[in-house]
Amino acid sequence: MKRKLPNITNFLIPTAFVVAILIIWEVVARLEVVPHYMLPSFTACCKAFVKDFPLLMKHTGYTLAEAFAGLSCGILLALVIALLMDNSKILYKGIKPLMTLSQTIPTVCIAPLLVLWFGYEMLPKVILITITTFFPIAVGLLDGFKSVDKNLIGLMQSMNATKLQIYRYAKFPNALVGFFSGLKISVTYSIVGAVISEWLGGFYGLGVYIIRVKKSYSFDKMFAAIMLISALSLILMTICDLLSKHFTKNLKGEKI
Amino acid sequence: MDLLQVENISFAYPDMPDNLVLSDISFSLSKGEIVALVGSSGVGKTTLLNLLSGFQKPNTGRIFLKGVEEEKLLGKISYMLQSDMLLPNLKVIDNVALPYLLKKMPRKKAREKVLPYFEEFNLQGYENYFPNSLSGGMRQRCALMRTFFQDNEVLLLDEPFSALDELTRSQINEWFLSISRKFELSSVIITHSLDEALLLADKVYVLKGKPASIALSLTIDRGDLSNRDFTLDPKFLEYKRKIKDTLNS
Repeated sequence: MKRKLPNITNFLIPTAFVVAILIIWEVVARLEVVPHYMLPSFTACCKAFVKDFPLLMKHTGYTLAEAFAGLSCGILLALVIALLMDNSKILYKGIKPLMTLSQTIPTVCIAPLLVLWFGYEMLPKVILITITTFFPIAVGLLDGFKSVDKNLIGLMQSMNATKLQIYRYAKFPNALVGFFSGLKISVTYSIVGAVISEWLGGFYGLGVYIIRVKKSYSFDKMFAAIMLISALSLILMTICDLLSKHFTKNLKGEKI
Repeated sequence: MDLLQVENISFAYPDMPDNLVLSDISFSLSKGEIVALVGSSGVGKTTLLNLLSGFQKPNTGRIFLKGVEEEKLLGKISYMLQSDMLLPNLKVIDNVALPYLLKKMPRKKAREKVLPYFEEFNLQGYENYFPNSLSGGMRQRCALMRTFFQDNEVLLLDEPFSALDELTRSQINEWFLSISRKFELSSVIITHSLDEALLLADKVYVLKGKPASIALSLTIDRGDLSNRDFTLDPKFLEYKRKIKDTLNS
């Protein structure tokens, strides 16, 4: 009972805040404090969402496909980079500044170049998402690999463990927490990255939908799409959270 | 023949070659024997175990295993570090069977090999637990069991029970002595507790100085006394006084 109470408050307090903001939004819109065409009410956005649901789902499918493809490539790239940097001091010193540099370039600046080079299909979008998502995961993985107790590695070597076995039994498990922390950030980046790349060129996706409804001044539909994007990011983050809890439950309070 | 023989070992870290840490260390370990190394913190006890385990190489001196001089010791002597180093993502049974898993033995077969020993190590019923649900004493026993299954004849134990409370430590000392006798384990053990050294070891070596050398070697004669009676025996106090005098001189 005592444990249930904090869980309930953990859920109730943020929910109450969200509901309060939605009520304020609804009241402000209905009172036309801001003109209706600039700020449609929450209920109007919900109606637009229901009305355009089939179309929104079609675009969502494309956005999610791009996000997952980009995120998968991002995870793969992060893994390769983290392994290379963990195994070679020269590569570590060489790649580290490049990795940081890759994150200093704004996404909106790279996107048009990628569209120019690779066209309006899926490829430039996947590349952009890969570039934006690999970094947090690579940092998390590398930190996990590097922070394994050197004595444990020595102990495993004294048991004639191969490099692969050291990764399997010590380094990868130690990197799990960092990996999931990075992944939680990267999944939101993947959705945002997909939408931004769709803004700048493409035929399908929530970014394309937003541009189209914006041009037709259907701001209620635009808000509906924004709410959908937020919901998608939240759902994906929650899935990451659940996966993280499942895979790291035995690492609680432990240091490898 | 001695199982392990250390002859005139000296060592300096490569980045400080002129600063010797250990100088002219010699001792031996016979089958079924326990040797305790005592000395103040930072004197070089762990460094000595690192040399014996093959983590590092001595600058001078020789190490013999069963009469054969060994150049590459890594993997030939089992080592239990101060921290239990259990892998939190593996079940207790797999942690214990790790030496076999690393030899690429199938998991099922490795588990079958270690399972019969769980009762002996007072871990029966905990095979499928994860390390984070074990007590400190159980974790140490689990780590010791893993060291045991490295299947080497010599065990190096670096303050294996130092993290335990006094009562658990005394219980685990008794237990360690019993399994050492049963399986004829031959161990070199580092401890900060003089009582523990005297209760467990057949020989005690006191390391002292900079560079550290063996300042005192004692062969412990317990007679037929149990641990409890031995601690009350005048010989126990005499040994302890000698070690303290050496450390304080």
